[in-house]
Amino acid sequence: MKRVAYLLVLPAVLLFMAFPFVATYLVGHLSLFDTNYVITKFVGLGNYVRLLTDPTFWKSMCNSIIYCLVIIPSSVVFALILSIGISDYRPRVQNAFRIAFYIPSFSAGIIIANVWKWIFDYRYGLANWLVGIVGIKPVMWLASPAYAMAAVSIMILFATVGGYLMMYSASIMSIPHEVLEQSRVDGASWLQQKLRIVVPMIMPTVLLSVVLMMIAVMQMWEFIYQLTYGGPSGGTASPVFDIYITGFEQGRYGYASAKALILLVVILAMALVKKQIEKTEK
Amino acid sequence: MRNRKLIALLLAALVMPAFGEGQKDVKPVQITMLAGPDLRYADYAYKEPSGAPTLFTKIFQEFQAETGAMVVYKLVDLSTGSTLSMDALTASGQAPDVYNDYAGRVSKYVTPEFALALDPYIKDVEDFDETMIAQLRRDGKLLALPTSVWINGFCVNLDLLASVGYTLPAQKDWTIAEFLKLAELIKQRAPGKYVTALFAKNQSSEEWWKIWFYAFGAKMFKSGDYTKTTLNTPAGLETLKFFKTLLDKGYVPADAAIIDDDVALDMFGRGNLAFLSMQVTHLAAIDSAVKQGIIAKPFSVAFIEMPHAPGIAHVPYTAGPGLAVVHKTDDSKRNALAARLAWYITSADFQLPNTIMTKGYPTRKSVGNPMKDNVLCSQVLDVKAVAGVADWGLTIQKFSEVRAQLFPLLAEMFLGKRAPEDVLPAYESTVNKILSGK
Repeated sequence: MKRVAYLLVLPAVLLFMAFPFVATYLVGHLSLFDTNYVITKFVGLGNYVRLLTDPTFWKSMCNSIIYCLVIIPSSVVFALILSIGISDYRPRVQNAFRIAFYIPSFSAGIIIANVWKWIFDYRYGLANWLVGIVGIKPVMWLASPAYAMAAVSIMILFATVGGYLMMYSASIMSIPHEVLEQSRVDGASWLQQKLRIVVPMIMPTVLLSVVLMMIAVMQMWEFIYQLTYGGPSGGTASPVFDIYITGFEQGRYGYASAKALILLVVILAMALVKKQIEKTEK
Repeated sequence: MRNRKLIALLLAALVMPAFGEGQKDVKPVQITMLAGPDLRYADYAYKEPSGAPTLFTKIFQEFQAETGAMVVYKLVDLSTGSTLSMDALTASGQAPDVYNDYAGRVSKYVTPEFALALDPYIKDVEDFDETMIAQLRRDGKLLALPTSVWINGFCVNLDLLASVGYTLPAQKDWTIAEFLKLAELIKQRAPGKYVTALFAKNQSSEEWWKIWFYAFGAKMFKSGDYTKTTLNTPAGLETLKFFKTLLDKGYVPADAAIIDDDVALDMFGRGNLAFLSMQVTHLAAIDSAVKQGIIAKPFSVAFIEMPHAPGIAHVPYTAGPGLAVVHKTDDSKRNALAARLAWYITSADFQLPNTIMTKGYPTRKSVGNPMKDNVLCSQVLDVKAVAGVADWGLTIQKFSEVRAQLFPLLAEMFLGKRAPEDVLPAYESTVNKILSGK
C-alpha cells in the first residue's frame, strides 16, 4: 500500500523537484559561458574569476548585510511590540490589527515601492512635508546612501511587518493560559509577564523569523529597482538587483548566472541554519 | 448487445482519424514577428481606406496577399525596457523570423551571427536614408532595415522666457555663456523654476543630456569607429564642468543624481523648466498637467537649436529609429519570406501612417514629409536639416551595456563623490573594455 502511495505521488514530486534542480543545473552551465544569446563563448571559470574583483557585486553583498542589521532587528522589535500589545485585546480587535498590518503583504513590491517613491520625493513627498512641519528643510532622502538605505528599510519594514505580526501572534496564542494565570497569581506585573514569560516562550518563532527575514532580504530586488534603482552609485543595490541588471538589462547572462550561483550558496547556508533552528525548536 | 455496440463505436472513433490523413490541409507558411505595440487607426483619428483596424493588420494583409504566408505577431514585453522577450525566445530556440523594435534593443541582434544579409532581397535600398543604412552595414552587408524615426528636439517654454523678459538671440549668439546668463535670470526672476533639468538615476532617455557633449564639440564615437569611445577629451570635460556649474548654482533641480526622465518631463509639463530635449509627442506632459489642474492652460513651446560652445556652429539632435532584423536560417524560402516581411514593415506604406500617428519622421525618401503641416514637427526637421543628427552608437551591438556606464559616474559627480576630471577616464576605460569584448 505504501509502495502504491509513493508511486502515486512520484510524478508530482519529480515535477516539483525538476524546477529547482534542473534550473540550477542550467544556470550553472550558463555561468561557464560569456553570452548574450547572440554571441556565445565558453569561458570556463572566467566569470567567477571576474566576480572576485567586481566591486558592484560585493558592494551589493555588503549592502545586504547592512539591510539585515537594520531591517531585521527593527522588524522583530516592531512586530513583537505590536503582537504583545494586541494580545490582551478581544479576538475581534486583534484580528482587525492583524489584517490592517497584513494588507501591504498582498500588494506587489513594485506597487509598494512606487507609493514610497512619492512619499520620499524631494519636491512633493509626504516625508518632506512632515519634516517641514517641524522646520527642517527638505531632505534628499534618496541622494545619500545612508538616507536611501534608511528609506528602503522603512519601506520594507512597513511592507513585511504584517507577516511577522501574524507569526508572533499565533505563537503567543499557543502559550498555555495557565502559565500566564499562574504568573499573575505570583504577582508578576504586566510588563514582567510579557518580558519574562511571553517573549522567552515565543523565542524559537522569533529566531525562525530572523532566518526567514535574512533569506528574504538577500532576495529582495523589486523594491530597490523602483525606489532607488540601486543608487546612489550602487549604495542601495542588493545582490538580486545586481544580478537582474547584469542579466536582463545588460544582457550578460553568463556573468549573471555566476553571480546567481554564488548567491545560491550563501542562501543555502542560511537555509541550513534555519533547519538547525527547527530541529532545536522540536 | 449494448456492450458490443459501445465497443464498435469506440473502435470507430479510434480508426476514423486515420482516414483523414490522406486529405491533409495545406497550411500556409507562418512567419513570426516580434514587435512593439500595434497602432489602432481609431486612436489617432487616422482614415485608413482598406478598412483594416490597425497598422500591422493592414501590412500583414498586404504581405499575405503577395506571398501567401501568414504572419504570427508576438508582442514585446516592454515593461522591462530590455530585450528580455527576444532573448527568451532566442534562448529557447524560437527566435522570431523578424524582430521589429526600437534600435537600442534591436542593435544587439544586428550582427552576422544572427542577422540575415538583406542586400539580395531589398531592391530599393536607395530609397532609405543613406546615413541610417550605413550604420546598419557590417563588413559591407546590410543586416537590418530602419522604420520610422523619432527625433529629440530642444524644446523651449516660450512663456517662461517671456515672463523673465528674455528674447532668444540669433543662433550665432546662442552660446553656452548666453545660456548661463538666462539660467541666472530665471533663478532670480522665477524662483522654483529652472533653465533645464539633468537626471542621472538611470539610463532612460540619457540622450537628452548626452547631447550637451556635442554642444561643446565632444562626440561619443568618431566617423563610425565603434571600437572605442571618443568622449574623453577636453571638450568632454568642459561639458561635465558645465553640468557641475548648472547644479552648483541652482540652475537645475538639486536632486539631479536621483531623478529620472519621467520626473524631468513632468517638471517641463508643469512649466517649471525653460528647456528640455524631447520628442514632439512628449508635449502630452503639458496636456496632462492641464488635465490635473496643475497649470491653468498650456504654455507656448517651440523647437530650436541648442546653445553652443565657441567654435561650434550647430549642435545636432539625437534620433532613434525602429529597426527590423531578420533571423537567418538554413531555409532559403523562409529567409526570403522573412526578408519580404521586413521590407513590408519598413515600406512607405507602413512609414507614412506610422510617422503621422507617432509624429515621427520617415527614413524613406519616397514618403516625403507627411508632417509638414505640423508646426512643431517642421521646426524639428528644420533644425535637423541644418544641424544633423548625432551618432550616439545606437546601432552598435553592445549599446545596452555601453549606455549603462555614464549615468552612475554622473550621479557620483552630482553628489560630490567624484570630480569631473575623474568621470570620463573611468567611463572610457570601462566602455573600451566592453567594446573590445573583454
